[in-house]
Amino acid sequence: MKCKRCHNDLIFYLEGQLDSPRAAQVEKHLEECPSCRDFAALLRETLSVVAAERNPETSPFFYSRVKARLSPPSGTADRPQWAWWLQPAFFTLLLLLGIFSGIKIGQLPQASHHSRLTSEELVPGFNEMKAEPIETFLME
Amino acid sequence: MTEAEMIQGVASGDENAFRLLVESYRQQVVNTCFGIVHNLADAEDVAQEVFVEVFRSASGFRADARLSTWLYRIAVNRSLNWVRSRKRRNWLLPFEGIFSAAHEPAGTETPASGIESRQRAQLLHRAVDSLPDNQRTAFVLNKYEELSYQQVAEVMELSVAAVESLLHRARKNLQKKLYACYRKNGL
Repeated sequence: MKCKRCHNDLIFYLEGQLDSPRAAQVEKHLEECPSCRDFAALLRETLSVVAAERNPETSPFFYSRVKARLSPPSGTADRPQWAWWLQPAFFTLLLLLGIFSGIKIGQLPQASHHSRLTSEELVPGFNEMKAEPIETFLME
Repeated sequence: MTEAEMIQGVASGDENAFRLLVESYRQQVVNTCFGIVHNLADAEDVAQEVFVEVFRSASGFRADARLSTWLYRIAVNRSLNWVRSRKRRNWLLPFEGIFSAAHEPAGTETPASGIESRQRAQLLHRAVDSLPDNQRTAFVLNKYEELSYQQVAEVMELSVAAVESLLHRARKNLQKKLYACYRKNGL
């Protein structure tokens, strides 16, 4: 028997699912091949994890936790139906208000073009400085 | 109290019947969930959800089916859903790690003790997780719950031959995965 053939049968051999002639062939190969023997030992140990993990000890409070999941959380049971809608409605309103004010602010630059001109007119000193070079000002 | 009386009691809201049902099938359900989620705390969480679902849908239970078969189905479906949602959550783990330094990965809490046995357990869990859902379900029911092929077939609503084929492929795939791991580790 070759290693490849042995690998095909190995897990079935370890689980006792091979007929006796084939199981004998695998056994013979494992005696002769140290590499397959090592892998078989490791495979056996890994599969034995299932038996060790079977039926883990459960919490003594298991039933009370199930009961707690069944009863609605405190403070929400006596809440009227309309109260469930109040919070999302409030936040939707807030969002719409935000969008509306955003649009309004976005329209401001057109209106502020005029207001900028008026502000320049209101501060004539600075505008005059811009129009008159500093040299002319000093010469005078 | 028979199975039928128990489920009738649960359907009519009898708390004693529900308590009896939970205590009678708790181990079976937790064990099945554990085989799929590989963590005791998570398995208990999923098992609790299973019993909540049983309580809420007890009136819809068909009397011709066995209660344990029904429980196995709910437990398997809930556990597989939990694993899927964990995979989705794991996508966010690198980002969560920025905010929470101490994060314990799922699957570290196993009954097996010692570093070597924990490593072997993790290896087996990874190999089991890599199986397709139907092979994983058949493997867990057969190995963790020690159900016969006939019982697995009833739970999965398949023929016995189909279950045999599923388990055959599950074993071959497991061995392939484990062999790849052993070779990678220089064995």
